[in-house]
Amino acid sequence: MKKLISVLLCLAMLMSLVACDNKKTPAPDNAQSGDASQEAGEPTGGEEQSGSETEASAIDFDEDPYTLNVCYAVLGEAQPDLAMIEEKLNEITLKEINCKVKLEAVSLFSLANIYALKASSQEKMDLMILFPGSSYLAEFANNNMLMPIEDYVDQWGSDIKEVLGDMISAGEYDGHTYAIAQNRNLRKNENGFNISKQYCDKYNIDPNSIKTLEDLEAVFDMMKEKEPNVISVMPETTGGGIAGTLADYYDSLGTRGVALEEQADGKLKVIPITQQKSVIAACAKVREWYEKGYISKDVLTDQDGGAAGLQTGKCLASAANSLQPASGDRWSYAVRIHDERPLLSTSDDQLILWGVASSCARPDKAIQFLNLCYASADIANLMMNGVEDVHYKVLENGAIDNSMNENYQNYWPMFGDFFKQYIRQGDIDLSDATTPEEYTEILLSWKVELSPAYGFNFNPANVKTEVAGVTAVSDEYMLPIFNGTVDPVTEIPKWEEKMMAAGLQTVIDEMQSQMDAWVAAK
Amino acid sequence: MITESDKRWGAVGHVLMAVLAFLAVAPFVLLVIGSFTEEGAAIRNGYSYFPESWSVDAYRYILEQWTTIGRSYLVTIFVTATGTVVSVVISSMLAYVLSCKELPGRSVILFALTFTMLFNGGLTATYIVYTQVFHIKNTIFGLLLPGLLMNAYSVMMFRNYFETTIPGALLEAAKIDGAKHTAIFFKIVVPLSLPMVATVGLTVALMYWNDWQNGLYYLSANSKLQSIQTLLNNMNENVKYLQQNNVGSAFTAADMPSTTIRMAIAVVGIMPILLLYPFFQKWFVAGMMSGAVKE
Amino acid sequence: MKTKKKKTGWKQFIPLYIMALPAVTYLIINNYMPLYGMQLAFRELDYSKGVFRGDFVGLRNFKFLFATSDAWIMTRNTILYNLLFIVVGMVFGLTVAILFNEVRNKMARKVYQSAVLIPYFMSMVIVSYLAYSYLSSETGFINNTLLKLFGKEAVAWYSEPKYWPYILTFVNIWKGMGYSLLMYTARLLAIDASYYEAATVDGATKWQKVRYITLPMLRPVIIMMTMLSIGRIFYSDFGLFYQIPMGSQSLYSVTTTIDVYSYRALMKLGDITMSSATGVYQSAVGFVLILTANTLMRKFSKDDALF
Repeated sequence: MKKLISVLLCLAMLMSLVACDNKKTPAPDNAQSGDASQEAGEPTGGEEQSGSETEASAIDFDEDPYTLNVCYAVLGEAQPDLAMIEEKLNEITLKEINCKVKLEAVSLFSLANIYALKASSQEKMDLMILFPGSSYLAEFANNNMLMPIEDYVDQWGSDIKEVLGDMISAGEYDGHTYAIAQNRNLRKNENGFNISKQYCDKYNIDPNSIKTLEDLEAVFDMMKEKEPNVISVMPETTGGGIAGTLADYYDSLGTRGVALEEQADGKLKVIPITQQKSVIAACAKVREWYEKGYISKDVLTDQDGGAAGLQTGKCLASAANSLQPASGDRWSYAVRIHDERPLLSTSDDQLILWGVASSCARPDKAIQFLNLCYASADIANLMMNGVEDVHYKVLENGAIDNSMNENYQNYWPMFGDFFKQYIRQGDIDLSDATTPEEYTEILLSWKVELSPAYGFNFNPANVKTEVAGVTAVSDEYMLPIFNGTVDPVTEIPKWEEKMMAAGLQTVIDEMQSQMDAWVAAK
Repeated sequence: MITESDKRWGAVGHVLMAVLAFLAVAPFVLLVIGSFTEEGAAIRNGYSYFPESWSVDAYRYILEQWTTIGRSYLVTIFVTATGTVVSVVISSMLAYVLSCKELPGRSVILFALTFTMLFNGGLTATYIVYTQVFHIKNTIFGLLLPGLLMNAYSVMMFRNYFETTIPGALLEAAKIDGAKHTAIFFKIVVPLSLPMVATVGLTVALMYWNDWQNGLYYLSANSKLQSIQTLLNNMNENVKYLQQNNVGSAFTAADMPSTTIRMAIAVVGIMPILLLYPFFQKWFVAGMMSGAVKE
Repeated sequence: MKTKKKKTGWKQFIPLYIMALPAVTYLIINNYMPLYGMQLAFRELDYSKGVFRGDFVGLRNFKFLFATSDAWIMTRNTILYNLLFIVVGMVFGLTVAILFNEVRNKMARKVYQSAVLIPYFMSMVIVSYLAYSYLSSETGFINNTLLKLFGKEAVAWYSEPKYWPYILTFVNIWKGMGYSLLMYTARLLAIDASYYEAATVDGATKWQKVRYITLPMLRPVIIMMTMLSIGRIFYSDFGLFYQIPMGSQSLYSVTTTIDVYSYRALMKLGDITMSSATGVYQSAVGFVLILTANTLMRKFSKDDALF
């Protein structure tokens, strides 16, 4: 009896704990959101909007500068000189748009998790990078982590619109603009192979003579004899699929397990990827390669990708999806095997997206900042290359040398218009160009083909379970099949069967009906 | 009184234990040798106990990065030391309180403690409490407080020890002499419990030393407070992430520290444990032995 | 005496309550306040309202969880691995401890004990490096040296699920062997030597001594450890299942446990409701299991019952 009472007492205590917690927690919640709306929401925002209608977007320089929290991605640690960059950046932003910027580095691998924690605890967050954007846009728009920003873009985003052009639709989802795409040097790279300079030079292989897969296989055979320890071909990035390089370009619609097929009558049809003919053929080829020993047994977990393999001499060639206009780089020559131009799908342009958090108190400032990034060459350079004479030197030809100081460098262009940045001398050296102008010229003349479904963004809300199931199945099957470690003849049907069991048909039907509606609306 | 059969079994014991001891140590030797293996040799022949060629490149890289790695070291040491001391003090005090059978409300506390072994609110809720109520994000408390500071198991171990090893008569006598509970605890119980203090202290210290999750959640990547394990884990995760996501060709695993370098960092990370091992394992064993002799 | 104690009342206990205060405060902050978050599992995720104000959706999140095959796989993995670890760990731990007890040389005992305890102190991140240096099929020791020595084909360890139950069990046992050796040895040393001497006089064989003296004497600790493990059968060693397979996707079917799934849901998609739902599922079933284990424990040895 005594025990029972004590247990009951405990429970009561627990309950009261939970209950008082219950009473307590919403309170600050309320206060917070109240603050937020007071600070920015209705009154200020409204004023500004009505003000702007009359006097075309004037920035208010009298208010206390708002501080934008900007989350950008790093791989590992933040750059040591970030504080210096932030200071310089603030000088510009205070002058131009009367706001301050606080940069917060977020580790790429924990991006989703960090955002979820921040958003659920209502931590201050204004601009957030989505990288790769196609993985997060729909999810974050559906759970309202992002806010629709089309009104703000219309009002403050003239430079954004000018720089992005048709690329602006990459950030559209479900009828609203949820994100601003980041432009890059090329919208889409070409698929093909990089073949090791070191071995080409050593064994007199002429990379220009390799035009077909048969040519390539002959080289592989020759190398297998001379250097049996060298892997013939690796996927360029760890975890890439070699079959993806071999297959004709197709639009995967940003969703695992499906592909787009343009039928003879021009109709757009969603099909399972396991029925995409060139993918099937490519998988068979890759399997053949694997069995011939061209592909490493360790391909799935190798911690080095082909790009690293080319540097260390571990592999002869890498199956790449990153061929650029130049015919090679420091380590390798480019081998092109596709005649057609790369197909640009929505998800390609969504590689890097900037979204405005729904908790952002001043979305107008956030968009003003993004706009300024696209308008200002200073910001574009600062964010990519650092401070002049500290992190880089401008050379005589107008390009820059950024090798002097590694305390600030960005691997990806995350901020600002790429074409307003200095060209790095290192990039020119690796290309077929000699001057920065020529280099830019080459980049600008690079042609891609727009996918017929370009601009279409799938809303998975109704089929969330099925998409998750199909993705899980694809995670399991796709890479082994795409790298030849299993037999595609038996595994592809198994993959499809498993996907169907997970609800692929439902996903396809939903996608098809959204696609039809999208086509009709267009 | 040693028979033939005893000798035979003793020999079997020797063989088995020698094999196990070898299995326990061999991987660490490979790790150390691996970190000194020349990158090319590792690629050609794999990691081996007798590498074709040696290299200290990985350690040269670590020295170059020493501002980061050294700082992480200091953070780890500070957090481990502070966390362990506080943890041992507060959990042993609670254990003492719980071992006092006549205390009103004892069973309530005991239940509340046991309950925590079964239910937890999950990461998100814990994060919200710590960041929104206590504002420990990006502070050293972010590494110290969440999850690690005290757990029911340490308290139970202390309580078990107090109840079984410390003679009740001693405590009674002290009470009759008019000693206060605090005095009894610090002057009698703690000195008599040093082996258990060592065992629990070491367990907690290892939890702090080996923790990488608090750093991941409660520090932003800008933070200068990353611990050595967080650093290592981040490298691992980044490599994994690049394996599974195509984030553009501009960046590949080539720019990540190579496996050899990561091995070297791992060696640097476990070095203090290995160096201090002879000292603390003695205490750990003593505590385990004395705590367990109960039946 | 008793009545007198009651009369002097609770005042004499104030110092004790003060001593308990820091720990209890920490429990409230660290363990009880976050319990509020369990409700996330029953709400729709809507960040613009604040996560605690999304609409109540009842069991919809759980429906979503169990609609995928993941729920079945992770539950199966968690339980089977735990059972495997309990049985193998017990048999192995007892065998080693009993044989270790036969080693009389003090110096040798010390060396063995120190050596086998080393892995216990290492984090799983470190152990994952150790495993990788052996298992990697390009650079690993096993493929490049061991298998070559025997003229065997290289094995792609990180993409063949069939090896992983063994690998994970091995790592688990390897890491825990020092600890379990200590646990059992402490118990073995506590057995009165006169039992064995008497048995020797009666001409008992070694096996008979183990069977009729050692094992019965160890019974309480065996029962206790088994019960504790059964109570936690719904929880897995996150580090083991998450770090050691190096995130290899082809191994998901044999390496995903409930803890790993919950973590991955959070890391990959930031899906906090799914992660919470998994947590609630785990806690609820885990609670039932530990109650069962405790009831059983009370039956076998009352002293060792948890509460």
